[in-house]
Amino acid sequence: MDLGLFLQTIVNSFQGIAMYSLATFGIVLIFRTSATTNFAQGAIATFGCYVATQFGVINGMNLWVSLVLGMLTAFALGVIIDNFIIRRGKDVNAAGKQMITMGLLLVFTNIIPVIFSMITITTPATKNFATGSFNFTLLGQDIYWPYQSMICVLLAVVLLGAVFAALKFTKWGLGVRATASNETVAKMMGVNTKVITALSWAIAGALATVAACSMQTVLNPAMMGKAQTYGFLACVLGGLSSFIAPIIGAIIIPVVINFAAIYTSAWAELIMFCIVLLLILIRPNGLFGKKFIKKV
Amino acid sequence: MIKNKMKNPLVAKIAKVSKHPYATFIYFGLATVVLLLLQMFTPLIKYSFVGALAQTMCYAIVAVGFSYLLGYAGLSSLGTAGFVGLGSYITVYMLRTYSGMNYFVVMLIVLVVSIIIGLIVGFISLRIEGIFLAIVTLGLSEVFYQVFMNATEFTGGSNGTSFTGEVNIFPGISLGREGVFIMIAVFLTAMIIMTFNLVNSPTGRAMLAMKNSTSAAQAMGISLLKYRLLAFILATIYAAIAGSLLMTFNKYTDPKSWTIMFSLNILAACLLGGTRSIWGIFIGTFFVFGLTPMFLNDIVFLRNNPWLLSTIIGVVLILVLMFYKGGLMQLLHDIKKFVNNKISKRREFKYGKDEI
Repeated sequence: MDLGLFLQTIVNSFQGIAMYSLATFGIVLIFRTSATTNFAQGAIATFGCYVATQFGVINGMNLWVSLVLGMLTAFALGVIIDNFIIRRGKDVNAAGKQMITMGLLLVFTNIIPVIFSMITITTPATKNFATGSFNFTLLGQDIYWPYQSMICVLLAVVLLGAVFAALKFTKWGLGVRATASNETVAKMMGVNTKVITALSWAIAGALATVAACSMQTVLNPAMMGKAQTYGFLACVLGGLSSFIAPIIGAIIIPVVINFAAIYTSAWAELIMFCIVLLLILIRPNGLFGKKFIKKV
Repeated sequence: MIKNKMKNPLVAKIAKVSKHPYATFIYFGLATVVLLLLQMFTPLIKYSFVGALAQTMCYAIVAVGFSYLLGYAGLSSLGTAGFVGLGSYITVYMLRTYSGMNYFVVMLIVLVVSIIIGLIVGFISLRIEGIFLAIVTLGLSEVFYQVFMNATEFTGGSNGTSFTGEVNIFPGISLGREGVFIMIAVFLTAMIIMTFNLVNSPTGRAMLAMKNSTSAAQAMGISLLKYRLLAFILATIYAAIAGSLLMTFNKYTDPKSWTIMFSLNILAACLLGGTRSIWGIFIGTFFVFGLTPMFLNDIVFLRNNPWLLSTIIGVVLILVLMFYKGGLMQLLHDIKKFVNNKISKRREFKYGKDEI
């Protein structure tokens, strides 16, 4: 493999990295605060993306405004789901919560085409923020970087940066970290865990909506399925004991796929799955994870 | 009269046999065959109903196998779809390539492959636990999906694959649609009887102990290695055999049937009915897989709006999980208790307290 191809492949992976990190971060945020894996994450994001498409493409609004509207919808959905469904369950365990989100997935996937009957498979997605590409020379090699991908990366960096800063420096972030380490104790220390988890669900939904909008596929209710599977894998690959490790997992996955695709495009994903599963087997707590200590 | 009946040895024997714990399972198997006969000889039951019933019965086998993992061993797996698909694809490949091959030989191959896969996943489950295990098995299922999708010369790629021709079970005996239906009923009955035996034996109790606390189970001398492997091998065997049976009935399969949605549906069927009750699992499977194609497709409004039904299933799933941890079986139990309570109250009101 020559240097040009190598660099180009890395640049090509940027969009995937941006998208999967946004999707993954939502999963890890919910996992840390509510101790469950959210199967409905992709469906909520799809709903937000459909809202954005409805306003941005069908009604002809500004794309950025419609994106914000989509994010707000997903934000509200997250709050509603956490408040009225996840919290209300009578002593539901983790597997039960997981299945509740699976029920939500069923509901959303079926309701989306009915609510947005104007959006069909031929509707252009809100994916075209920009056209053309940025051509530059790096180490004597000509590289092109589409503006679309650049905008997605910028969005991801800004949004994730903002959330990480909030986690580090705000009272909400402290609350999230406290809830993540132990919900009962956090409650006893005066943390309003209800607000914390509701906001986590909301932020996860909003971030995943951006991921859905930056995805380069046709619109359909199941469009986030793959991103979600990769998100889960990235979480386990990176390790769920910190917020940053799953993002590293989300960086590894698209890069591996793109490099494998150079040799064989049909089997690229299979190769990625095999590599990632082997890595997880070697390090069951994740590449950067700490061992969970179980009490008897 | 009554005395005579008691003396008659045949009647006494029948009375004894009908109280045997297996009897209800066998009645269930026979009832499905009766439905088939009704379809064949009377216009009471539709052709499509029997087809849907056969498929639901195959899914019930998968769900019963899955209950070893979820209900007894306490392991979560999302790889079911991959294992069922594997059983289907091995069967179709064998039957198409070696036409006229005995089906039981094919099933033996499926069995061997599923034991190997079950062993592998079982060993993985020793290293990885809980939600992580679910995600790793999901990844494994994706690996199978990629193979089904891309190994086009074996699997036909995304268009799926099919075979025509009959299923030979013995030299000279081949099964048509009805024969395969009866075979599915026999397998289902045999497998639930096996499950019933196994979960009420020391094996089932050991698995249950493992579910409640692995450390306590180990302290009592229960080998995690042995029982985890056993649970995964059993679940994989049930899944692969169900996939194989489904293939012989449908004679067609494609990769889209074996995505994560299928695994989640099986999980939903188990949780909906109640993970540790065979009848509960049947109810759950019927609700998730059977209800729509068997009955509700006849209602024109629902047929034109298929989204409504799936949404209702989703909502019911959420409500049951939120308020009835034990599933629909617990709900039935509660209703029974409620009715009995009311009846006894009514009696008390009518006849006074002392009379009861």
